[in-house]
Order: sequence, then structure tokens, then C-alpha cells
Amino acid sequence: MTEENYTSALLAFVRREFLADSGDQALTATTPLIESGILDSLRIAVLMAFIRDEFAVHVPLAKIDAKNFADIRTIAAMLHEESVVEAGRA
Amino acid sequence: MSPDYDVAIIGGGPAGSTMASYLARAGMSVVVFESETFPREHVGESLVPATTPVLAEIGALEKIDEANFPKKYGASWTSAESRDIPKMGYSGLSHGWTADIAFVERNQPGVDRDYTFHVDRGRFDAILLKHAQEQGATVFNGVRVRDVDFSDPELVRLTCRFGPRDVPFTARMVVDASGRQTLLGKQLKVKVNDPVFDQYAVHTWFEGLDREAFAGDSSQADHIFVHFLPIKDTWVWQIPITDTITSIGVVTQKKRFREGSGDREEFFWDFVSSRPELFDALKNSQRLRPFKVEGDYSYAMKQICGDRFILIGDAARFVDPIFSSGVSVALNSARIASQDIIAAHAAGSYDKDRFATYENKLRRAVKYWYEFISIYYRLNVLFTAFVQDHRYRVDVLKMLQGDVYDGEEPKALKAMKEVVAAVEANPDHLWHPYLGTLRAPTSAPGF
Ligand SMILES: Cc1cc2nc3c(=O)[nH]c(=O)nc-3n(C[C@H](O)[C@H](O)[C@H](O)COP(=O)(O)OP(=O)(O)OC[C@H]3O[C@@H](n4cnc5c(N)ncnc54)[C@H](O)[C@@H]3O)c2cc1C
Repeated sequence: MTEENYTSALLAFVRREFLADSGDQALTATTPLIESGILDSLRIAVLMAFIRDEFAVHVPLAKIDAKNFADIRTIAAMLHEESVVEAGRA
Repeated sequence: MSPDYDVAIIGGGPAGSTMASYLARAGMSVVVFESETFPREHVGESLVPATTPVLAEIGALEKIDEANFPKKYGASWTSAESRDIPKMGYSGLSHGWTADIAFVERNQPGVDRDYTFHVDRGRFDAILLKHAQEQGATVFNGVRVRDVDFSDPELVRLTCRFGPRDVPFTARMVVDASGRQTLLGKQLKVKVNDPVFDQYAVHTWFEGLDREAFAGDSSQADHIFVHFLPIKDTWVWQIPITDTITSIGVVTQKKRFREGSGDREEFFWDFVSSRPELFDALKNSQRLRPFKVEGDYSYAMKQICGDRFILIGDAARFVDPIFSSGVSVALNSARIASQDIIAAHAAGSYDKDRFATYENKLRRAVKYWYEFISIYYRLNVLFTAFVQDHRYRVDVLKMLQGDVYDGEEPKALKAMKEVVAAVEANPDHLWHPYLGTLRAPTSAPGF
């Protein structure tokens, strides 16, 4: 998958799962996820499960930091990097 | 002089009565001294499936089946953190879902069913004690053991309170199953309070709580529910007792209770009000019993066996009720210890080294429990993450089933410890702010 594929799948998931009730559809790939309160500790766990099931990418839990989860774009970039690493391992 | 009995057991709770059944079935002469008159109330109402093989082995399972206790198919957790996560049919619920598991997801060796029970401990304990008597044990109700004299190398002497007088009894060895009274632990001065946990609970029964309102679907209504409060390290249990009666308890650190007015009723409602939907549901139900308090229950023992004695169940150790492990540890510690005692009896020696298998197995199992409990309080969300991860879910479930007595360290436990260490070391980790205040030493206590 390309970074763009990850970005659009993540955007759809976050809109559907975390923003459906708030009516706030203004989410973009660069909306800050933490400061805006869109992600909290529990939602990060839910998002990680989605990433694992949907993309079959195993992001180590140690990588859940402010830099990688700043916005959808940074998550997509990290996933792309991880998937390349995983493909190399396989 | 020949002693009155082969084995004297102090306490007729689940640990003591199970031990009595095992030994009596092996043909030994056994006496149980129980200070209360059964049935009596007791905390600790939700079982895990690891109790099933023990109940089957002592021949008591049929009687428990016939008692019609509510069946427990799994466990659910709710959180105040993320409200309204529309996931897996939970959309529209007023509380945030975090996780649930069903026992059917993992086959457990020796367990022939996908459920266990929630029990009214008054009835459950009475059935088991009566069963022990039917297996051939002598049972005294309303008789308190005051002290045990080990000075004679051939036997133990118990001083027992019968009404107004003390009556002496002798046995080849003694089993302490006195629960949190920890009779021998105190007498021998081997009891050590836990360095990290100092937990506290206030609980009661309610009539008419709408349990379905909290369940994702009605099949989960009879799960145990653990509701997290948005107060650090604090949670509420919800345990079905009958179709209409529900046991509710708030568990926190003792110091948080002390910070309040010290009034248990006020404390209960004050803490529960941090989850408004739970508060409202409880206010609409009827409280059946006075609020009861449990404290000072987080401790270990420097020694759990010695010449002519063994400690089992809560008399050996207790930490925290979060994973409903207490009755299972009581039953399984009795099972494992009884094997050593039966072998010691056959060999005609009750020296400490006869009980080495028990000591090793129990210490290892309670170490897993201890680490699991510590991680849970240290980084709660990790538990949710692991339950959702296919690689670890079954392994976490194994712990929740209480299946910890044989085999290696659960791999989920090892992986969890690594993540906790990574989060602790990295202030930028997004879970860093969620680290709990209870922090177990990296080297778990060696007792
Ligand atoms: C807040 C809280 C919640 C809990 N929730 C759960 C749960 O959901 N599920 C679970 O499995 N466990 C739970 N537990 C743990 C559970 O209560 C215990 O682990 C379990 O009861 C231990 O059984 P036992 O036979 O060792 O001790 P007990 O059940 O305490 O039995 C000991 C018996 O010994 C008798 N006795 C004491 N001293 C003497 C004496 N000197 N002479 C004669 N008799 C004596 C007592 O009267 C008592 O009947 C909880 C514990 C706490 C504190």
C-alpha cells in the first residue's frame, strides 16, 4: 500500500469511529489528533487494532508517541515505513 | 501418644473445605474448625473457570450445578474515558466500551464447559463445607482456633474455643485456611504487607438493577462487569447474584478513602457519581444490605509452609480482587497442597521439604497474578490493547480463566512488561500520562 492509501483509509476510519456523533467532518490529514482531543489513550488502542486487522501492519506499541501520532499524515508515513520493514523481514 | 486427627484445618471457607474433602477422600482423618456458624456472608462472589476441575475432582460439582447459581460466560469492562465508541454493535450506549471476553474463546484443559458461576458465598461455602463432612471430615462450626503449639516435634496442639472454654486438640499437622485472619501468618510473624498495594473496598447488594442496560447484547448481561471510574486506580465490580440481585463494590486505594470524610456510604455514592449512568441506575434500585468494608488485604507471607504446617488460600496470600482470582487460588492451592500432604502422610513425615512442590507451584502462580495485577494498575489501557490483539488475546484469556498453575510464563505477560518499560522510559509516549500511581518494584517480591 502507498502512503496515500493509508491516509485515506485512516481518514475514513477516524471519521466513522470517533467523529460520527460530533458532526465534525472537517478532519484532514493534518488535523492535530491529540490537542483536538480526537485521540485519547483508549482510542489509540482501538486505532492500533484497526491498523493491525486492516493493514496487517504490526506497529510496536512502543512507537505510540506524539511525533508518530501527530496527525493522519504522520501515522500513514510511519505505517508505510513499518510495512517496508516488515516486507524486508518476510 | 497418638494424635486426635491426622490433619487439623483452621477455617471452613473454600480453601479449608476443599482441603478437607481431598484428605478425607484419601482416607485420612481430618477435622475442620470454623469460627462462624454457616451460612455466613462473605465477599468474593465471582468465580473463574479454573475452579471447575477442582470442584469436579472432589465430587462437589454436581451439588454446585444443582444450586442454580447464575452462569458466568465471560467478563466485560467499561470505561469513562472514551464515551460512545460506536463499535461492534455498541453504538448508542451511554458509556464507553473497552473490552470483553468470553470463556468459550479458549479451550481450557480439564474444563468441560464454557462457563463458571457467580455465587452467593453464604450458600456456596456452606455447600462445600457440608460436602467435606459428607466425605468423612469432622466439622465444628462456631469453634475458633486461638493458637497452635509446635513445641512437640511429633504433633501440633491446637487451642480451640468452644463456647466459654478452651479445648485442646492434637493432630499430625495443621493447615491454615483462616483467610484474611491469617492466624498462623500472624502467630509465626511471617506476614508482610504488600509494599505497593494497600487496597480498600466498600460493597453491598442491590435489588432490581437493570443489568441489560450495561450489556452490549443480552448474552453479556450476566458477565462480571468492571466499570472504571475516572479516578485513578479505582473501579467498580458488578456481579449477578440472582436474576434480580446484583453485588456492587467500589475498589480503590485506602488513602483515597481516608482523604474523604471516612463515611463508607458517602464514599460509595461520591465515587460512583463519577459515572452518572451507573449512579442513576443504582439510585433506581434498592439496596438490600448495609455497606460493608474490606481493607488491609494486600499482603504476602515469608513462609507458606514449614515443619507440620501449610498455609492455603487467603491465609497464604492476597493482593487485589481485580481478576476474580481469590476463590480459584483457594481451591487450587488446596488441590496442590493436598497432594503433598497425602504423600507426606504415606511417608510418615510432615517435614517442610515434603511440601516443596506446593511451595514452588503456588509461588509461581501468585507471581503471575501479582505481575498481571500490577500491570493492570500501572497502565490500564494496555490490558485493553492486548485483549484486542489476536496475538495475545487468548493468552490474556488464559490468565482470566485462572489457568496459571502449569507451564511457562504467559507470553502476554512478558510482552506487557516490555511495553510498560518502554512507556515509562519515554515521556513522549502518548500513554505516558496515563501511567497509574501504583508502581510495583521491577523485582517482584520474592515471597
Ligand atoms: C474486596 C474483595 C473482593 C473480592 N472479590 C472476589 C471475586 O470476585 N472472586 C473471587 O474469587 N475472589 C474474590 N475475593 C477474594 C476471596 O474473597 C478470597 O480469596 C476467598 O474467600 C478465599 O477463601 P479462603 O477459604 O482462603 O478464605 P475465607 O473464605 O475467608 O475463609 C476463611 C474462613 O476461616 C474462618 N476463620 C478465620 N479465623 C479462624 C479461626 N481462628 N478459627 C476458626 N476459623 C477461622 C473464617 O470464619 C472463614 O470462614 C475478593 C476479596 C476482596 C477483599
